[in-house]
Amino acid sequence: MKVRRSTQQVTLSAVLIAIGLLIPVLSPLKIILEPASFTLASHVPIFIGMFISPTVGLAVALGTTAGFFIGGFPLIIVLRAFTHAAFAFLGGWMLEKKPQWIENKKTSFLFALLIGVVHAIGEVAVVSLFYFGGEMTSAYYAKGFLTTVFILVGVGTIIHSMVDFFISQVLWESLKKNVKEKRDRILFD
Amino acid sequence: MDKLIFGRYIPGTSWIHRLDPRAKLLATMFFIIIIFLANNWQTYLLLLLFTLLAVKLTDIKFSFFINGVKPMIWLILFTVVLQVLFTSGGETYFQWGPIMVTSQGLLNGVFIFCRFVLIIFMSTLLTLTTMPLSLTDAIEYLLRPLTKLKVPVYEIALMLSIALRFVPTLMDETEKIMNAQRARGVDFGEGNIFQQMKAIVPLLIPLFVSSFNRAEELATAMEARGYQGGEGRTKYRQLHWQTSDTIVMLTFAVLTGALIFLRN
Repeated sequence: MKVRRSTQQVTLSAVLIAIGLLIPVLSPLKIILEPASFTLASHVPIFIGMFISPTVGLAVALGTTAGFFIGGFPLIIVLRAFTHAAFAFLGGWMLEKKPQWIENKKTSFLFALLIGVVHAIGEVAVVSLFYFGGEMTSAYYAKGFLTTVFILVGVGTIIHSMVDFFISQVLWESLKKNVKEKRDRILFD
Repeated sequence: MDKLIFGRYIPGTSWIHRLDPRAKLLATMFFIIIIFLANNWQTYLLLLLFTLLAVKLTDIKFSFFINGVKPMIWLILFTVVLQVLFTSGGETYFQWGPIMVTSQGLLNGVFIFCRFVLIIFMSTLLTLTTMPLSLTDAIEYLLRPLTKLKVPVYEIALMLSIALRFVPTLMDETEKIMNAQRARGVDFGEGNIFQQMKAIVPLLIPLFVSSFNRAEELATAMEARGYQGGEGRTKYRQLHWQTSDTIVMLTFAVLTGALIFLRN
């Protein structure tokens, strides 16, 4: 039974990683707030992984990081993807302890906000490294650190993260029956 | 969408194909790091010639590498345009408020473009000449020290291998779903953020449902074939480090030295 759990975790994580690699490349829905751009639903596979378990969430975050690296994406994108591991694991762990946090609108909003803040801290840390290392485009420097890194990347990431979280929740409601059967088998077999 | 060659191996017997996947993976990682040493025409020209030589040695049509760049072209051009329009320095050709076109901006734009394209070419070269399974073996080997920290290295490598294998399949599936939804009147990319959120849900639900079913079927198929996790598992394919792999690593060391020597 332990083997079944492990095999299902591996295959579920793998397909979520594959979707996580596809969405940023194929998504027709990009919101551009120059110089930053946000791809709608790009975090959905990580959130779905997080809803399944902290391990799957972590695996999807790290797997997409490795995939972006192998796919030749710029280093900054790879490192930003790496920071997703923190909120994926933390969120998964919190939901494992108290799954009711995403069962009503108020607690869902607060949970999404908390995850968004953790998410933003990671992204701002990476972008700041590149910003102070002189590796960003001139447009970032033209508007200054506060506007581009703190407001656009920081606040922008919180909003983007929350939007993706709510998309994931809608998706999760539809998938729940299908996934719950699998998750129950994974966790309790 | 078929143009995206993420995780698609092209069989061949070229010198690059025959290299050990560990050498190719290490070399690609090394290249992505040393490209940041380039900061003038000479260094970028050296890297360009080096990359073109590597591409030539693969015996794979150049169009495959161009196809690797195509999905990223808008992101690259967007970055280049911003670089060109907001960089000051050198001779000014055009200025309108904060927007300007300068010689320094044009130079930076060309350099950023080269950096993106060369990195994509090198990583495309890695995935075109290395079977996903070999690449997974290489990742597993390089991560092996982490097993002492109880990191499930074998499972991580297997997960990556399956993910890379699934990317083209899911891409075709996404295209079919998008076309089906368009035929039903869904307009992707139109309207405000709430309308866009609504539009993407009918795309994601069938994609996730079919992906989860695939994952379930795959897990069953793996177990039916006797899969019991990574522990104690033997390998059909053994990795062999050869002289040519050492030569590749030495070449990269020389390239790094040359870049340090030529950079400003």
